[in-house]
Amino acid sequence: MRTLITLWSFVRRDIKVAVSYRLQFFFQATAMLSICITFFFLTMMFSEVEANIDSLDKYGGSYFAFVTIGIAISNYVDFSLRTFSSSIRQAQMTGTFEAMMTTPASIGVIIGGSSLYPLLFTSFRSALLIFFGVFLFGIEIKLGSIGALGLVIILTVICTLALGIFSAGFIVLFHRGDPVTAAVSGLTWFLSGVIYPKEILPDWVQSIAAFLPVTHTLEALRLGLLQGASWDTQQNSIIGLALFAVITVPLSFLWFSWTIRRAKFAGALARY
Amino acid sequence: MGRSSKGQCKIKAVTHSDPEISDAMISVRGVSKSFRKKSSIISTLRFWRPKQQIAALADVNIDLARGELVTLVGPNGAGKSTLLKIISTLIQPDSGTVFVDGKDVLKNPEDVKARIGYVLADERSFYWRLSCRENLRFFGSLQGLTSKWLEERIEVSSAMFGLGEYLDKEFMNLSTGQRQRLALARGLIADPPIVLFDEATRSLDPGRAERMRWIVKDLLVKTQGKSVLFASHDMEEVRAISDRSILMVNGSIASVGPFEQIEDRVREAFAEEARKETEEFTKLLETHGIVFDSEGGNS
Repeated sequence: MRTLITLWSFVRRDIKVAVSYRLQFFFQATAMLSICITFFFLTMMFSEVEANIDSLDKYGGSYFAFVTIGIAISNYVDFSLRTFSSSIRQAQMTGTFEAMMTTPASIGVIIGGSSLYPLLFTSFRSALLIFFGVFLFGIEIKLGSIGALGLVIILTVICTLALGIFSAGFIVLFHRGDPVTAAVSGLTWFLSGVIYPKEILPDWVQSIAAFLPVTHTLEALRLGLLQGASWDTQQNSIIGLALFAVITVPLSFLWFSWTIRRAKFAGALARY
Repeated sequence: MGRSSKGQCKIKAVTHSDPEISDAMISVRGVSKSFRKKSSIISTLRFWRPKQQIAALADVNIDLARGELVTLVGPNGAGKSTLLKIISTLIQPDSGTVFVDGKDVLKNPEDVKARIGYVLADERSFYWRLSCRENLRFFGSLQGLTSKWLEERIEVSSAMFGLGEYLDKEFMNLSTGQRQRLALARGLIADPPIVLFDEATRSLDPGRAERMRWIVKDLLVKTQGKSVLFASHDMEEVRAISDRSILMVNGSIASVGPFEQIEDRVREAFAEEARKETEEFTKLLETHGIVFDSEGGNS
């Protein structure tokens, strides 16, 4: 119970800081809207060839619907990682990281608490993008298994949290130059089928893409939201995400604890 | 003394040990700490000691009894902050042991931190867009305080340092002295049995510094029986509050005792550091063809 209260105090802190920048929410919403408009008109430009792209059939045939979900999820992972690592870096620079480390709160609580708001905020951004796509630009939703969709979203959040913790470890150790965010963002765009169906990639590249959680999230959400896919159809994506989560979550916590120990040894917790 | 860097202080290199106290609230035994001179990816990742290093602490032994106020005094770079950070688990020692109320800082860091209030010298370490109350509420919850008890402690610790009327003011709108007072309030919010102060009166005006010394000596130590380790380079402050003083020079303990007894050595240590820097500066000027006259002129 006490842990939950402490975690909530992180969220409350971050919401209050975010709300103090009043225009931020407005510009985030307009940014999502402008992404939607851009891809809506891009799709109109290719509307004649859209019907001939076989690899889109699996996802319902609409490139706009396909790319909106792709951008929403890649943006979610990318923005979560960036917000998370920048909040750790900022805490180092202002000295609040050292101040938090003098309290009896465990490293798990501090790092978990620091990640909650970035994850919630970016979830809101991505949901907003899909909301605009559906209600302003007419994406047709064929809802499949809600249980499977819910599990996919939860597992995606957990996988993103693990990646965020890896990223935060690099920030603690090297202060700048976090390779995790750059690698995950770059590979996701290239391999996971964000703006084009992954089926157009060579088979061996597709097998590499299977190691990225976003590949499974995109597959599951597109099938579950655009084609009304059942639990059975989603099973492989759920297993892929679950495997990634089971392996990376404990590793990420071990890595972060190690970087804290290393920073304490080097006397570098307060350096930036 | 084992210090490897240049610029050894001329004070006689004798390592003094603080007399051992059987039920010490803080017990520091044989603690040494060095930092690497150069930073690289490999040196950041490895745990073994680099060849080029700067010794920050060398074989330090300190005991702090229950209800005792001990001042750590010494020139800048003497190792006072490093020692406080080791005690508060922010820095890991290379060797030696540190126990806080019987808990090992390496094996039970969370238990140690639950017993310590640490007032950082850095008064910026708050969330600038949050109010004082919101900042105290956040750090208080990390200390494990909840609901009514947390709100009560916020009121008490802020009133202690005259912050009552600023509680709902945003941190960024506070003066430097007010920020320092908020840091003091944060250090005491969980009512810890041990408090570490690191240059805590640095940004306070004389009146508030005096009040702060009264709070430390009369309220925290004499009335509430807390144990306090107070690092400072302000001689008058040290004289005013301490039961016992420890002079640190170049990472080692140079003297221990009532301030009146070690005052001459403290003055000598400060003067020596200043003299050393003046000599280095004079040499630098000479290399640029400027001859510095200690009587006040130059040619």
